[in-house]
Amino acid sequence: MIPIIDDSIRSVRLTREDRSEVLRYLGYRGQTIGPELDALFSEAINKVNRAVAPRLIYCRYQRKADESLPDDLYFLTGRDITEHLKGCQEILLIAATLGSGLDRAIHVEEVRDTTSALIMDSAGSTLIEAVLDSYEAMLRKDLRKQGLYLTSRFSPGYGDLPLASQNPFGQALEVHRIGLTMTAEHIMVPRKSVTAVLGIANRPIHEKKKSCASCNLNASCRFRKAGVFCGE
Amino acid sequence: MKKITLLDGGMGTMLQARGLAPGEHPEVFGFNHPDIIRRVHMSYIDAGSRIIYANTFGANPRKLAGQPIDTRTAITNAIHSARQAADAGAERYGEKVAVALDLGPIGELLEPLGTVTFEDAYEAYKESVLAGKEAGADLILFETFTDLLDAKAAVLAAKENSDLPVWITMTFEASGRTFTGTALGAFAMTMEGLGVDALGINCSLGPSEILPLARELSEWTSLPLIIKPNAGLPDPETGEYLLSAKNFSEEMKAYLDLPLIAMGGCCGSNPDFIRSLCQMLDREGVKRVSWDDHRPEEFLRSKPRRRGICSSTDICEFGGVRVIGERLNPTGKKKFQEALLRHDMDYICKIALAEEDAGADILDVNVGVPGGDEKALMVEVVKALQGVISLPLQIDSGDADVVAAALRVYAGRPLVNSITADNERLDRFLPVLKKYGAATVGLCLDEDGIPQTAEGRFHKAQYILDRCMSFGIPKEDLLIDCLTLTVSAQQDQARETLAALRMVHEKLGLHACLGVSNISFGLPARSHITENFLIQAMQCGLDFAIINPNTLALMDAVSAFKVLSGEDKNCEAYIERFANRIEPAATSSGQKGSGNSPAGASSGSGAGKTSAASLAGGASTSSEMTVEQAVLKGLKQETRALSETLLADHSEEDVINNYLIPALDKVGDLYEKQVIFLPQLISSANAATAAFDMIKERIQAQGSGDVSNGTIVICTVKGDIHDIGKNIVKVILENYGYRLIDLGRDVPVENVVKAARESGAGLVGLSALMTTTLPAMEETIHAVHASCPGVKVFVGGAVLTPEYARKMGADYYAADARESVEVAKKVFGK
Repeated sequence: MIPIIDDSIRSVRLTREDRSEVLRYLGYRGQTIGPELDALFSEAINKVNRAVAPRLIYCRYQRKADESLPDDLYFLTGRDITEHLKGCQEILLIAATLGSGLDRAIHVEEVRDTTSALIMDSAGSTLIEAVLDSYEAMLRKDLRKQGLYLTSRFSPGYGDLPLASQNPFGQALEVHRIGLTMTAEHIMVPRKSVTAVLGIANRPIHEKKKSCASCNLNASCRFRKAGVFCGE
Repeated sequence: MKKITLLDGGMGTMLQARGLAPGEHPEVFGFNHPDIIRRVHMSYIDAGSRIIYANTFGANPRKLAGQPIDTRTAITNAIHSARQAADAGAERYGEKVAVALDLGPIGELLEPLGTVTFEDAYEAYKESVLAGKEAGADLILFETFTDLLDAKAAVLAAKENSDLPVWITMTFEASGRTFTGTALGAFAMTMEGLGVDALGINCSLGPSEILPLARELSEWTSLPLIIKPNAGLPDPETGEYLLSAKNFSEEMKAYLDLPLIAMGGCCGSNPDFIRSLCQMLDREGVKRVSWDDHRPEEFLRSKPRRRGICSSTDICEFGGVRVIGERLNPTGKKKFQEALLRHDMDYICKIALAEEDAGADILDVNVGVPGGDEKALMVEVVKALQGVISLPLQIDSGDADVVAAALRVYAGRPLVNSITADNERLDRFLPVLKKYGAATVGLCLDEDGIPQTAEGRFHKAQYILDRCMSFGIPKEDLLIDCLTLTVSAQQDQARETLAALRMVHEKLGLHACLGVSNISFGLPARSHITENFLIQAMQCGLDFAIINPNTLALMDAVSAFKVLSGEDKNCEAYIERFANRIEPAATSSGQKGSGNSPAGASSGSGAGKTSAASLAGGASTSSEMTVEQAVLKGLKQETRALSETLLADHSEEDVINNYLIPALDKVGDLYEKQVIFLPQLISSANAATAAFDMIKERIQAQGSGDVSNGTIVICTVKGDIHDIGKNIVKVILENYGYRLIDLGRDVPVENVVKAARESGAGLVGLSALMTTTLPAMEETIHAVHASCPGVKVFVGGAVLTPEYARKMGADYYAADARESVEVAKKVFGK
């Protein structure tokens, strides 16, 4: 299996609609935002958009006939990941990062203005999710045409999948090719990075029901824009 | 006739095809299957490779931690396998085959982005280099590096622990930068400065994509190039590399007009690619040679076309007038001195950022302060600055040991300030400058003082030049400073300085550097004198002006000069600089004296741009607003200005206790009631800080000394790099009058203990965001309690609970910044 770098997400940036999600990360509950803070938000989001260089790498693995995991994925241990991938014929590993330019920009901003750094940090968290959502939305769309379905994302550290699986995960997916590294403490550097496991199945995978109306990403949803739904 | 040595091709996929298991380290696999490794090497030698890369790419103590073999065993074994193949090949083809100790990057990012220190990286490479040398490698080949500081640690480890030739290739994206932002020119200048024997590019892209990068690289170096591309770009559907062996070698043909010493293949290539390269070279009439058949003088034919100094990301190219910011210097600046002694890197970084914003090209860094350890401080400041500042630095010290320590940890090729014509000083500095390849300023004086005539200074310049040249330091790396003397004290000396400058520029053809501001010392309206002297000096050939970049008039003069000299093509920079400027009325006396204007807070505007608003100084405040309203709105300048107004008929304590603190309490109350949210809390806190800082300065000026409620050491624990939460806690605590010593993130246990002990802190705050770093937190708590009896520890962070905090032995737990204030009040009783 050769991991593949997907270039389609390189241009994903935060838009006006993402602001509500950035606010959510900051614990926003409808407080009044004055013009000064509003301007600070716009500037911080622009700074993030300029500092990032999104990169994504993925690899699809066929499951063995006996439903056990392929040898390459020896690090996916525990009950929860097994449950998550139940009924899937293929397993997809993805990793994405916004790049070290953003880490540096936030670090500089911490010296200049803590408030702005805080907003940039949240904006970065929002954007890395948006990058994965954009990729996932396109993939769902493609898979649907082939009658295939995708599970949600499951990451090292969720449930009983050890955080320590982060490092072998990174090795298997050759994440150094997108400039992503893992520390001895299993922290990803650059900071705004995500790794995730998804299953691909030939029938819908029922998870807990979600609805667009109650979702706080309603306005900015990259799945809706692609004409698909995040929960099959 | 052109000569090229063939390298080998990809190793990873060859090993996977021969049984390397998922997750298995290639070095461990090689240890268990030396026969397979030998056969892979042999197939490359048969194809034409004359340098083979031993199977040691990941052989460093960090990557092999927890593996069944250690670094030394891995390297000894791999070099022996390669040597056996090389010997067999030499016999078979009657040509020498060299074995390279192949070393990849450390695998984690260095500080400040990651957690690995420069010193840790150096030690890891040292272990690999020593093992490789003993095992009999012919040369050391570093490849696939993306971080210039990591590469510097590797090369220094190689040069200081072996006599083997050192080659290095880094991996660039099509943009011409590595993932961490290292620029091609920065790589070339830094590595040539460190004395590597060849450098180049490998991996990431195919031959066609790397070609323009290789051309740019060759402009910045006189060293021979190494090119080892991937087999084209990967197929976006399958991930397979797209180029066939034949097409690969066709594309490689384009490199033959570059000063190449060696070529080979990286990911996706195999022995067929090397065979195809052989045939291509034969067809093109290029002689294939062993690695030691090259003579360096064939390459070091000419000096690089482009020169300069650099950080890892920014290059300051020589040719034209450059501004060196002078503000990072404690001389005569009490607050700067205190910041150094308190290790307040934020304060220093803020001044540096203001200089960068004002349009400086290089920042001078001087940390000489009575009572401070200059060497330790210089290293600390350089490390802090290069995490925040993009500009190249000028290391300013008269102590060669201090300079050497700074050059060592600097990611790039800096300037040094300075050497003199004093033989003793030259003897100490020249070896340091040579070893690290830095450019330097030479002052026209010696142990007998400053010559009073232009000719006298010119002779000193000539002497410094001769000494540098005989030491192998190129003329282009020497900047001569003809020395500015104060015109109010020695009026005739201004002319002598300018005359000497002209002679140095015209007769010696050297770059000239000058600390300009000193000229006007002691005179009223200094800026007129300074500006006039600066312009005359530039006219005489000054190209590196050490000035205060925050002084608008001086920067304007430089900008105007560049138009008149033709350096600013089509006046573009000049037009942009003044695009949004409303020129103050001619009678305005708003300009401050040069050398004295405060660094000021960052304006947030683009580099070098200035607006009329920032010229006006203080912000205009509407008369109706109260301090409380300004704090609530998070308006820094207004809060400061309103507090200043209050001070006209209120005491400092009155303003703090009856205006600022109540405003903050109100903010805290609103935050708890969720009327405002986190960014608003922080903005308000920052606004109050602006006023506190101003009041603190006034109190200190009155000589009342320390005004703090207590000292708190704060940091994120070892291994953890999340620091936003810690920074928020810091801002809020400072607001309540506590003195904060912020040690940053990823802080070793012993540093926390040391800081707590030395500062006499009553409280230590620790933050951790990961379950994996909680053990480090616990260890730190115990160490502080053991070494500093009576000092309390409070902890916080997303993964913590009050119960867990207690279990670890913490005295207090704070859920958020507000609670940390309560903790501090309990501990200090105020």
